[in-house]
Parts: sequence; structure tokens; C-alpha cells
Amino acid sequence: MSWQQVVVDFFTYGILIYSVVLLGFYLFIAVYSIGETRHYIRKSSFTDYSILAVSEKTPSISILAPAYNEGATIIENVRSLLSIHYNHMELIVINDGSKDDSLQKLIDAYELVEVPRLVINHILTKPVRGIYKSTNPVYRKLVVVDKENGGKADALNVGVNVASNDYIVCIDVDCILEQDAMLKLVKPFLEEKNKRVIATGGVVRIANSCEIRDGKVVKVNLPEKFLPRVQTLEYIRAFLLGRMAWSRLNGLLLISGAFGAFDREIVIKAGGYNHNTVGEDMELVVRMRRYMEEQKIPYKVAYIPDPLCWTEAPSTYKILGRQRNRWTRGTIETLKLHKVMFFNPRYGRLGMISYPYWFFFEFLAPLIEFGGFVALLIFAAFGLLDWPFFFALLGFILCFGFVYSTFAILMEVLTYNQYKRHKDIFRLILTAFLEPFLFHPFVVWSAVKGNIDLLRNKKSWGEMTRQGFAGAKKPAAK
Amino acid sequence: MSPLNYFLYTVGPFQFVELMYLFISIIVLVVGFIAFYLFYRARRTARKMQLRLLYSEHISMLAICEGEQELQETIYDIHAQLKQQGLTEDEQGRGVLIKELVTAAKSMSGAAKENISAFYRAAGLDQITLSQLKSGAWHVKSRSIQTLSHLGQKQHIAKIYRHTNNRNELIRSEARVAVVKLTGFQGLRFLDVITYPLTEWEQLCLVHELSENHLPDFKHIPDWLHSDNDSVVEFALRLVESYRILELHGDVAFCLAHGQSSIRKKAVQAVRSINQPQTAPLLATQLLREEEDVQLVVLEAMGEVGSENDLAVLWPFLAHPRTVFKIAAARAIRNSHPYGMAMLRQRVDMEVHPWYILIPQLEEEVNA
Repeated sequence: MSWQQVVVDFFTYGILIYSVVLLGFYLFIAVYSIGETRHYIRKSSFTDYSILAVSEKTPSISILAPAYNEGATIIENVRSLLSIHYNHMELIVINDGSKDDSLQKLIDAYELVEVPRLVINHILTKPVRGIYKSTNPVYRKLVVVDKENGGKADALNVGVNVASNDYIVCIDVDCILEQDAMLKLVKPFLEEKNKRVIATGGVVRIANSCEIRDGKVVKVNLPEKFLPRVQTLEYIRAFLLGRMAWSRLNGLLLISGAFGAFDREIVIKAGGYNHNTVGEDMELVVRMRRYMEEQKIPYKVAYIPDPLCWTEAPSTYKILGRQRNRWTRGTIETLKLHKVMFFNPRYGRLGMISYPYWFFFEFLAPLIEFGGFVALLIFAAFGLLDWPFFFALLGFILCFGFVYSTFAILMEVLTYNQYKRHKDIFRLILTAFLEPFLFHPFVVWSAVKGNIDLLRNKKSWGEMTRQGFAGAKKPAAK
Repeated sequence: MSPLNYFLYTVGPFQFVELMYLFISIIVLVVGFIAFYLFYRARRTARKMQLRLLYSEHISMLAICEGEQELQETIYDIHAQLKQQGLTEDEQGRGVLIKELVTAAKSMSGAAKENISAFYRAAGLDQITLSQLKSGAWHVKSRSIQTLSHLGQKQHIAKIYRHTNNRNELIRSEARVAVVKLTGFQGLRFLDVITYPLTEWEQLCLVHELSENHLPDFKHIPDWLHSDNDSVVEFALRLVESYRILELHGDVAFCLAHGQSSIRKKAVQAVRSINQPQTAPLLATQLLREEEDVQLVVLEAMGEVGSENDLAVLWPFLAHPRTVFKIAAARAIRNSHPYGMAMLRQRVDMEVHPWYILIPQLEEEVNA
């Protein structure tokens, strides 16, 4: 056997074995998530959430909404958050040194005055310039914190310091929450007696093309544009299959920064959000879990599959690329910060399953895929490629991807069925067939660029221009 | 040859093409199933809507019945109509009817609710629910328990009661709430025997149920305050707090010496809610012997029940190394004495952190 053949075999069979293991994990995730989702939906059908809405003894929560240069939409976004059904809550809007008129707009709209407040620095942050509360009792739940610019993580840490309640809910200020979102998010904290629930995550859905009225999603539509639509499919796969399976395993490493609830005491003990990473949401969950493992305290990270939070997905390749680049850098930074857990039995399932999975199949997957593509070009150029084998393998992988996506769509139809028009479901299936050609290669390339940027020590978030929900589909005039 | 080598040298394009065909078949099947399911569900939903419309008329008739004779006649008429339409033998029809009756019963009270329950029994629907109670599937069993309780089927309480300590947390949770829904405080007798804990969620549900027109009966609470099951003690403390049961002050005070700090915290909150002359001295003593996280709860309680006699135990906390204690103690002092705020101003150095900001904050809180 020539050395060239050895190299070709190494790549061919190496990638094959890697793919088989990865596909095995996907199969396991798909099957394992079914039970968890079914259990949740059945349980939820007995639950009267209004008890939480009316009870005097409902846990108090602090909603933390960091805002940077959100002047155009901040008033409406805050109004929407204040209308959420939950009695015992405070809404803390953290103005992270915005350069626009966000603060002044808030002061004028909500009749705010500066109040003396001692902020205990449980977590070190950039200085707080002032804390504002409304003179109008209607807005008594609102607290606005003005601080020096320090990034999202720093703003959230200020929120953690200012919060006066046991549970904090971190959200993106421009997200749209369902009215009962807090009731559903808080419940898992009340259900465990033998374990401490340290965090609860909720599903984030894509709001592009949905009808939005008064800060509420009144009609769910499948996005008209291809990019948001394919991300809808991606989110269904990730949230309905992936995270539910990891939740069942109690191995979740990520709760979306756009929507998650945390036990404030554990957040503080774990050291709060890390402002040296662009993946602060994942890093916090990993650090909280690591803290609990090291303290040997039984704990759980819960996850609920209800679509409770709606966000705008990037609709251009440019913005999408920045987002995926940042996600990649965040993942690598988090894995690097906690490398001590890699296959470390001291950290139980976290060290032996969750961390290695993220390392091999979230961090390495795009690199291996890209490496495989480069190898393909080289082997093809040198005439070393076994073309029938290549096409058979390509077809196999593509078909598996289609099976996985159609299964995710089936789960969506059988569970929450957000897209009522039958046409939308079939458009989603068609999108699944286009994804490997028009979306996936770009995501892989963005991830590779993320790796390169990290090596170049790039720390920026990358500007995330959003069109805003004003551009969302308007309800037809009657 | 090792299994890996065997695998590597036998796998060729043909095997992948075969697998591809398998995947394509699966995709066709799944897409076909989705299409069939969407069509089936649309039809099912349409029929359900029709049935709901029909049943809502029957339920309205039942709700307005006055007197036994009118009720019996209406039940007979409705039953005859349902039979004529073949709905008494139709599984989906019966299922929708039971759900509609439950929904109606939840939103009604008094005679209207009793009429709905009477129809449910007369139509033999309770027997269907009872057969579901024997199901091995937890969600079917839980649903049947919930149905029986919402439709006020007290005669089946024994069958429900035996599930209050069920191994499945969702069945036992539904059963516990159901017996309380049906019999009020009497139903709480399961607290004497349960071995599984009551979660916070269950406790909230039970307190909510008890608040719904049930006559209070506190005679067993002292026993529960001394229970071996910590969650039962927690729940009993919650009842003391909710109903402000002053006569149980002594029993609650006993819980301040409990081994679990979470129970002691709840006991502090309970004793605060039934404030009596002996409460403040009791909490002052507790403050000195507690661990830090309970001390904070006691300091908060002192802010509500404390008096000028308790200032002596509060002053030292102004020098506590942790700021949260300084804040809690300062609040307690401010509230414990009519001149508490002025005394605080005299006592602390207003030029020093945190007092230069904390004192204005405390003043602002009073004015707010």
C-alpha cells in the first residue's frame, strides 16, 4: 500500500468513523428527547399555572434586561416586559452606557427619578452611575440602572448585584415573551425537593414574519425569507430534540442568553457572568454546574420545551456570519476555561459526557468538516479519490441529515405545531432539503472563521443589526 | 482480523447506497405520515369543535335547571339526544363531553356546578373515569383523579385517597390536591402518613385549594408541626402563616430549634405572621444563636415585630463585616423605634461607606 493510499484511507475512514459516532449521538438525541417532551406536555396539561399567578407565596423574580443603544425600541420593549403576567417581579433594565438617548427616553416615558440605592458588589463590575425608579405607581416594578459601558456580561452582573429577589431571569430586551412565560419558567424551581434547581431554560423561537401587536406575537407565521426560515428549522432541531435530550440526561451546558432563569445565590457563588468571553451565557451555566459538582451539592438544570420567547433571526449572510463566528468563539473560550473537566470523573456526567460531546461534536465538527472538504479537493486534484465511494458517502450523510430534519419537523407537528398552515409545514420540509447546500456550508465557514479570529485574539461581539419587529408582518386591515 | 479492520475493509459504496435507500424510505414515510396526520388532525379538530358547540348548549341547559324534577327531566332529555346521535357509544364524543363538563365545572359554583356533577354521574361517565383510574399509565390515572375532583365526585374519595402516597410524583400530587378539593382541611389527613415529600409546587396548590371556600380546621396542625417528614412541617408552617393561627405560637416556636435551617427560616416567617408580645424577644434570642443565612431572615422579621427593647441585639450588626447584614439591621432599627432613623444617623459615620448612601436610601424607602 502506497503512502498516498494510507493518507487517503486515514481521511476517508477517520472521517467515516467520526461521522458514524456523531450520527449515533444524533440518533440517540432524537429518540431520547421524545420521552422528555412527551412527559412535559402531559404534565403541563394538568397544570393550572394561574395558581402561580394569584398566589401570595409565588417566588419573587428579578428580570434583567441589558440594553445598549436600544433607543429606537426601548420604550415599547419595556412596556411589553412590564405587561407579563407575574405578580412578584421587578424588571431591571440596565443601560450599559448607551451612546444614544435610551436613558432619557426611559426617564421621560416612565416618569423616572434617581433614587439613592446601595449596590452591594457581590460581583465586581464597572461603576453604576445611578438607579432610577418611577414616581408613577403603575410602573412600580421597573428599576432602571445606568452604568458605564462594560459589555453584556458586565451589565448582567450589575443586574445580579441590584436584584432583590432569589431568582433572576436574564433576557434580551428586544425579545418578545409569551404572557405566561415567567409562570412556566419559575415552576421547575418549585418541583424538586431532593435536588437544587440552579437554572431553567426555555425555548427561543424565531419571530421573523410573525404578526406582532402591542409587543405580543398574535399570529405565528413561517419566515418568508430563506435564511430566517432555515434557522427556524435549526432552532426546532436544537431546542425540541437536542436540549430536551440533554435536559433528560441532566447534562445541559447551554441556556440561551436570550431567555433563562437562574438561582441568584448560585450565580453569585459561582462568580457571575464572565466578561472575558463572548459566550457568557454558556460559560455561566458551565461554571454554575462546575461549582455544584465541586461542592457535591445535588442539582439540576431544567429545560422546558414551550415556545415562550420570540426573537428576530439574522436575515442576511453578513449578520448570520457574525453571529455564528461569535458563538464559535464563545464555545471554544468556555471549553478552554473549563478544560479541567475534560473526561474528569470528578465532574460526573458533566465531565464524562457533556463536556466531551461539546468538544468533539460542537467545537471540532466544523473543523473536521472543513478539513474533510480541503482533503477532498486535494485528493481529487491528485486523482486519489474513489469517486463511487465519495458519492455514496455524501448521499448517505445528506440523507441522514434529511431524516433528522424531517423527524424534528414531525416532532414539532406532533407537539406544539406552531405553524398552522399545512403549506408552512411542507415549506419547512423543502427548506430541510435546501439547507445542506445553501446554509450549512456557510455556517461551517463562519465557525472556521471564528476559530481563526480567536487565534487572532479577536474579542468583539460583532455588530448585530436587527430590522426590528416594526418590519414584521402587519395584520391585515379589516 | 479485528472487528474494526473487518468493518473498514468490507464497507464499500454499495453498503452506503443501501443505507441511502433506507433513509429515503424513512423520509418518504415520515413526510407521508406528517401529511396524513395533518389531514387527520384537521378532521378531528373540526369534529371536536362541532361536539363542543353541541355540548355547550346542553351544559347551559343543565346549569340553569332549578329543582330536582327539572334537573332530572333535562338530564333525561340530554341523555336521550346523545343516545340518538350515537354519542354515548362514541369514544371521542365521550372524551370531549367529559372535558367540557370539567371546564364548565371549573368556572361554575353552587347549584349549577352540582347539576353538572349530577349529569356526569347519571350519564355513567364517572364509571368511564373510574376505569381510567385503574390504568397503568400515570397520565391517564392523574387525569381521571383530576376529573373526579373537579366534578365533585366525593363518593370516590377512598379510591383517590389511596394514591396520595403513590410512587409516581404526578399521581400522588394530583391525588393530594384532589382530596383537599373534595373535602377541604379534612383531606389533609394524608399528611399524617405520607413518606414522600411535598414539593413547593404542591404546597402552593394545596394552600390555593384550601382558600377556595373550605371551612378552616386547624386541630391537626400541631401534630404536623412535629412531623418527621420535613416537608410536612414546612407545609404546616405555611398554613400557620396563611391563616395567622395565633394559638399555635408555642408550636411554631418549637420549630425554631429544628435541625434543618430551611425549616427554621420558615418558622421565623410563620412566627412573624402571628406576632405576639413574646415574638420579638423570642426572635432576638434566636438571632444570637443562628447561622448567618437564617440570621438574615430573623433580622428582616425583627424589622416587622421588633420594638425599642430589641435594639440592643440589633446595634452590633451595624458593624457586621457583610454589607447585607448592615442593611438588614439598619432597616430593623429604623422600623423598631419611632426615632429609629434619627438614632441611626447619630450612631453611624455618615461620611463612611456604606452609610453615606444607605441612610438616604432608608429615608427614601420610608417616603416611597
